[in-house]
Amino acid sequence: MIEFKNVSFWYGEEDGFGIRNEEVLREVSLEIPPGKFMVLLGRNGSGKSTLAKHANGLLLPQSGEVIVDGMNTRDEESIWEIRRRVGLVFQNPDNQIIATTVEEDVAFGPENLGLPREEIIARVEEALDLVGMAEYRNKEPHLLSGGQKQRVAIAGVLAMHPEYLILDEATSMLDPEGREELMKVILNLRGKIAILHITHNVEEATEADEVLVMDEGRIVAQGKPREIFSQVEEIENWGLELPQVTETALLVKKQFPYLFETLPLSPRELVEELCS
Amino acid sequence: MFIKLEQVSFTYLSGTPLAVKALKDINLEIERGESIGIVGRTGCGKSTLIQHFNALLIPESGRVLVDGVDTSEKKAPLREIRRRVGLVFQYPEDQFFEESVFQEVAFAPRNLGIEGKELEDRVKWSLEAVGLDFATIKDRSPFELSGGQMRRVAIASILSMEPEALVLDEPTAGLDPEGKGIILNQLKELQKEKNLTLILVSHSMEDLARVAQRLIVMDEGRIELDDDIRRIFSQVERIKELGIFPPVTAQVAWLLRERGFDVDPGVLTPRELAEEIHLKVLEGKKVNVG
Repeated sequence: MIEFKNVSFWYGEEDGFGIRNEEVLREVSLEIPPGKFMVLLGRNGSGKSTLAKHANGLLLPQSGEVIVDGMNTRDEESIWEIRRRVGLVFQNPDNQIIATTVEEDVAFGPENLGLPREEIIARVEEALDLVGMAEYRNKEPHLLSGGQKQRVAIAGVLAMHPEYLILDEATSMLDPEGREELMKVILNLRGKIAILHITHNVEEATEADEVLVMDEGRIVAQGKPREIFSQVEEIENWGLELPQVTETALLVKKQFPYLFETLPLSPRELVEELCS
Repeated sequence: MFIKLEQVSFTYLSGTPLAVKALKDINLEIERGESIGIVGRTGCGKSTLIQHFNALLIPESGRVLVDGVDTSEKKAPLREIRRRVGLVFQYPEDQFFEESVFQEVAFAPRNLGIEGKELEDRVKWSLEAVGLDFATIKDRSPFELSGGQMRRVAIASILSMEPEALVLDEPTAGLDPEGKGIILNQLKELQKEKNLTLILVSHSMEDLARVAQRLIVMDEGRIELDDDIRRIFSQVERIKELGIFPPVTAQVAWLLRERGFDVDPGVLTPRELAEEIHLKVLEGKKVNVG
């Protein structure tokens, strides 16, 4: 479990009156339990990336605590174990790969853990399998597509045998195929590891176990996708949009109020209700 | 014809073992006032293509005509071409360097020799054209704005050259839905009111469905499809081969067609889809029940 306990974070100094000019996180409390697939939504500047960087101690709270499986991110002795447990993958596929072959890149983390050779080989194999990149193991990373590079970056994290995977807008720079490949990988990892996926694409949130919404440094909503996307007016206030299927159903409902007692999230749900 | 490409080919690192053929025999005509989306997989040649529109790249073979002027001619007025066809790169805010929003947007027109009242008018118009309030934003540092505001200032800094065509590479990448919506609406308005030629490269079919009338699909350096956007989204199988997924609305339309409803697969927005459902699915049902 990753626990955020009243976490606040701000850049710069507090002034004499205790006013924090650039406060990015405001008393955030949150639990990320093992195995859950969570999606974090929120407008630009709402604090999503700052929150992500707190989860593995890349940033430390100005006040409050972040506890990862009982270890405090402030505790320097635990920080490497925390970073092994909480893997982060970022936005730009070209900034995260360092080695000259796919295999070497994925092996980089486990090598630094000082694991025996056989164990490293087994972990690389397993991680590449999980992201569907085993056949590319000897390829040079710069020859891969954006989606493939991001899958290699995820494999690099998985080879550390983490408990938590945090994806900070990892799909945002990809083309539609790359995005779909990555979403398949995420759904394939579901249940095996906790995932916190940060995105602006509401369609990617429809399959989550739980959706979190941030605004102005606070978590303003948390619930199942259907609960979140049925708060139609709030969605706009949070700077979000409805999934297109949900929006369509609402428009249909205006003329046929008896339809869609629960709002659909996927094309199939919409069509099923219309055809029943 | 405003921009015309005739059998344009382009190769990076031409003549070396690392040569990459990025454009192959492209023929394309763009009329003034059109609104065009360009899509295709990463690496299909989209960015190379748009850099030919304003002579940042000169074709290896073939030719590009901007309002009749051949960009590969020795004496081609390149500065004038680049003023008339404004190009907004991906993440353009990474290139900010001025101290204030005003200076940032004034940079290009100032280089064109525009000063004083005229300069101020241009900056004001450009900022307002992207939906920003001149008085409140002009003195702020461009670096302290929100992501969506930065992107709009970057677009304004190209609009301030009063281009006749605006070419944007992934203008909404990384923006939240709100910021994205504002930019798309403002671009659409500019295209309509100023008869601005609008060319957008994007991975988001939902975004393009909101602004583009015509869609160009590229693959491996070639133009594979070039047609009305609705007709393109109707060819589900073909565009999937090219790495494109139709917008969610079109996907729903296809599922309904499979169930025997004659819904138009070219629906671009939830509103259009809802109308089709109303007409073709629910009205029909009423009749059946009655």
